[in-house]
Amino acid sequence: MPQLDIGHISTPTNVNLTGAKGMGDGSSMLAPAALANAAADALGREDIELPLSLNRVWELANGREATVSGTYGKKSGAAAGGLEQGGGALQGEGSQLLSAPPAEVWRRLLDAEVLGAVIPGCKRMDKVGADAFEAEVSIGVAGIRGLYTAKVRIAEQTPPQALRMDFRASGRLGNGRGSAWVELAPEGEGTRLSYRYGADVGGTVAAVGNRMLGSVTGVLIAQFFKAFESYGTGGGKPGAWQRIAALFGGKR
Amino acid sequence: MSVTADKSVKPGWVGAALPRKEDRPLLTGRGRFIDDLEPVAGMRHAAILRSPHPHARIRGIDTRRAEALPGVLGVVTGAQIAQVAGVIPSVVRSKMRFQVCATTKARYAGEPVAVVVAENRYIAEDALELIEVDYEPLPGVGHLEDAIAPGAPLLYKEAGSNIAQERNFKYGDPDEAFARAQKDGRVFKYDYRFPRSIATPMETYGVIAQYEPDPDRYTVWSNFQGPFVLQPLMAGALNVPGNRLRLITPPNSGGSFGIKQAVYSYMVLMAAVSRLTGVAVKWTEDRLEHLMASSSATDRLGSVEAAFASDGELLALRYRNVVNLGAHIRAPEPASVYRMHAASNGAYRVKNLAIDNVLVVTNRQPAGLNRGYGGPQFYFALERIMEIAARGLGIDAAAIRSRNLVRKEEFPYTCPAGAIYDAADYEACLAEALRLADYPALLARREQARAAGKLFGIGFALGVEPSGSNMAYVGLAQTAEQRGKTEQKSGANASATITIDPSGGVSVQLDSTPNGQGHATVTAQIVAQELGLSPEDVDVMTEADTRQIAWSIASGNYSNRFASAVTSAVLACARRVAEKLKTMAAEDFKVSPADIELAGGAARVKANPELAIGVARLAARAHWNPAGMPGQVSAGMHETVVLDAPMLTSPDEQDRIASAMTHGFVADLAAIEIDKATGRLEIVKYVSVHDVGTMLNPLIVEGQIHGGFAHGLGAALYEELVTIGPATSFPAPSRSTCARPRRRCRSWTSATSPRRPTST
Repeated sequence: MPQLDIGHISTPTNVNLTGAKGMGDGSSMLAPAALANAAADALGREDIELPLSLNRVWELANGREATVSGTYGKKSGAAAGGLEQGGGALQGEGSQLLSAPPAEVWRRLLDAEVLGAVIPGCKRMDKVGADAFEAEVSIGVAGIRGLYTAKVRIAEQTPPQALRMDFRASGRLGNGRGSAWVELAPEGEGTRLSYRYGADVGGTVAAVGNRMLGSVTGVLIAQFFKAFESYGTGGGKPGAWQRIAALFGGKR
Repeated sequence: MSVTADKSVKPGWVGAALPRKEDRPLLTGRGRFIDDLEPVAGMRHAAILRSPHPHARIRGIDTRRAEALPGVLGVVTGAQIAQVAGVIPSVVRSKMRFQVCATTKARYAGEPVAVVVAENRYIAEDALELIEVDYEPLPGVGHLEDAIAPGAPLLYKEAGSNIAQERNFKYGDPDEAFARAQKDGRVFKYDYRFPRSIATPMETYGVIAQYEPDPDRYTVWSNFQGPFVLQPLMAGALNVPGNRLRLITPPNSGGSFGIKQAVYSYMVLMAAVSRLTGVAVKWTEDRLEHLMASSSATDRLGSVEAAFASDGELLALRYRNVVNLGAHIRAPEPASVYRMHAASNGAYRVKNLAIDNVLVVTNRQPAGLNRGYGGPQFYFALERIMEIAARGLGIDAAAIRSRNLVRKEEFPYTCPAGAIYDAADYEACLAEALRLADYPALLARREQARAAGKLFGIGFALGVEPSGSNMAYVGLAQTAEQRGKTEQKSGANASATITIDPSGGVSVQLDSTPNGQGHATVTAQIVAQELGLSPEDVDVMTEADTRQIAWSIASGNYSNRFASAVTSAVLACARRVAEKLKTMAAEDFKVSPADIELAGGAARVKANPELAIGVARLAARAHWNPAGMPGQVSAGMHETVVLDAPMLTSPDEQDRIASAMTHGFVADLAAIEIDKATGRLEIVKYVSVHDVGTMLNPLIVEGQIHGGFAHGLGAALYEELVTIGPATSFPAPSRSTCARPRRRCRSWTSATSPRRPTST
């Protein structure tokens, strides 16, 4: 809690009738410089950037290169600092052991009906091209639930081992774009599915739910795999299961 | 009129620490803010659809589903807006045209794309979700480095670059001074980055707009703070003469700190929406809209070089300011980089200056006034390099400044770039700061702390505070040749109107738009003192109405204009009313007006106080019985004074300009300790000494100082508007982070020069 000691030296001006000068800006103009100077003096280094947040001061105090202003967890520069260039502020990776063999996992991953049944909050999932899907998904983050239209394209694939999908989602409450990489490898009777993803998220959902995005994504992925795994074993919602089973029957 | 304790003695109201008249209604919930107003019957409610992308081409907008929603009166898109609201011009000659609503391209996340008008805001918000916009997201630039890099995505392809303008200035002979310092002294260079922050007042923007046809006429209620130089720009964009764009401000404001200058683009937007939908519309900005799309301070990439003689004399300064204007050059930008320009020597006697200003657009919200407007960025450069030089030269940080300060006997002091510092004693302020801080003890404490392995530091910052802007300074964004092609600009008018009604009630109308500065209190103090009344007797109207007040382009509330300019207009006007009352009373008592004094609510003969007549009775006579008044006195009791500032002339051929009427001074000293293990920064001591000239009301002066400090503290320790990555994040200081100020007042008056009126 900073204590402010105020002093006054009063020299009336002669350019107006009252002798008053202004004081509305005052230390708003000078405190940033005064505190940066004090920090430079304390730290013995001149490369001081504002704001002197806890993280940045710690970095400076411990001989690190300080985070650059205007960035959020990444360095500036043409490659990383541009907007809408992917790479993604929301990132994650993980792996999951699935009981089905790779060929079956692969088939399900690219089946609109299966995905529609197992993706949490999915209202609609259509295959709109050889390697493209469109979906409507309802997602809630930090109490803000909204409907998003997602477009997914399988950008690269090596059946039944690896694929990359690019996705773009938009809704009234936010938008996002990114890529996910999936690899399948046999493990025992089943499949080891490894994944990583990177996405940029914007709009209200990002502004409000910033700190929640990572954990919400984790929960959604866990739900996805649970449904994916139990899919076909009767563990899914009966209505959905029966509907999809019928379709599968038709396909076979 | 309420009765006050003692009306027999003329009280010295000016300079008294009177509690604010404004506070009771504000604290008891009786303030009337823009959102409380319902000035038009049948008013409907607007919500704005904003681009979720920082940079995107708008390929199409389908509004049919939104229009079909019950309760929706209309949906208007940027293309429709553009038909009735044109480009808002800029002093910067460029192809980067600013329109208040995106048409084919959105250039920042939050840029208006369409507006829904509905029976209520709930329906309007719901309808926003039904508008389908076909965006093609484009690569964008958020950082200055990225925006000016070769091959950077362009915001305005037609401009061919994200650099809107570069101007280079030289005053004196900086090259010679730097060469001299290289040889015999020292040159210091500092590259810095200054972050983007935003003022975050409690109340957000609000606009009510009404269009009437035959002929086209707009009335706009808004918590706009001015400057009213923007009124002609708004009228021009709406294609009506100024008298058919009426602006009205509400009685109370929930704070601004500069940011409510930029509501003007939404005033134009809602005026256009009212015209297109045929109903009066109200729009109140929500907090998220405010953070993403109101107006922020400019962030800067800068470098500053200082040439010193070996004895510590500052010989020259060289600045390079790369300024992030955001997505548009929205007037009055690029004023943020020119506000301090004429005072680029700071408080120092340095004669040689080189200044390069590079104006850059990026995919960030447009910039505008924010407390300190250009000052925090400027002083960060100047006062950091002074400190760096002190360390480099082995001179004490206070001593090197003292060595270079403009001396008391040098006032009025004309600066190399044209600012005229009117009157001050900088050395006395610095000495007072050192005294309040007990500087020797602080230095000893630093030694002890360091010996114990702690991180302890002391820092200074000194600066002049320009007040009462010359409306011509933004013209420095043009070359002298470009300026020569148009009518010259200069000055800063201020006006006040005082009315005494037939029953003796005193009303004052200002041409300023208060948002927390205590206008009503200070104005009442001045008028009460001149008319021999009590401040409670004086009603100050804080609403502005361009149809009723004596406004001019400088009108409004910014750059410390109230204390430096408006109070003098009030005083001059009060003196004119006093003279009229005295002339009338003098005739009654067969004495000269000079023999009359105004005190205790009456005009009385100084030599014989028994001979007295009430001010209310004189006022009544002026209304009821003009024939009974002295011949030379005009009928009625309604006086308006417009003061100009003759020292504020146009910029000259060498780009020098007296950019402000008067200059306050601030000397700040900070002592901090940093915990290496946690990064915690503790402010051990913060001293702030101010020369504000006459203190019209010390309570308000200190309130302002405390508020300015809170903003400075925020910018220094907490605030940064970051929109890259997953979120808009903005940790501003709150009441809990800001301590109450400890007062140590000492008033000291130097006799540099007598006061003189600027005009009568």
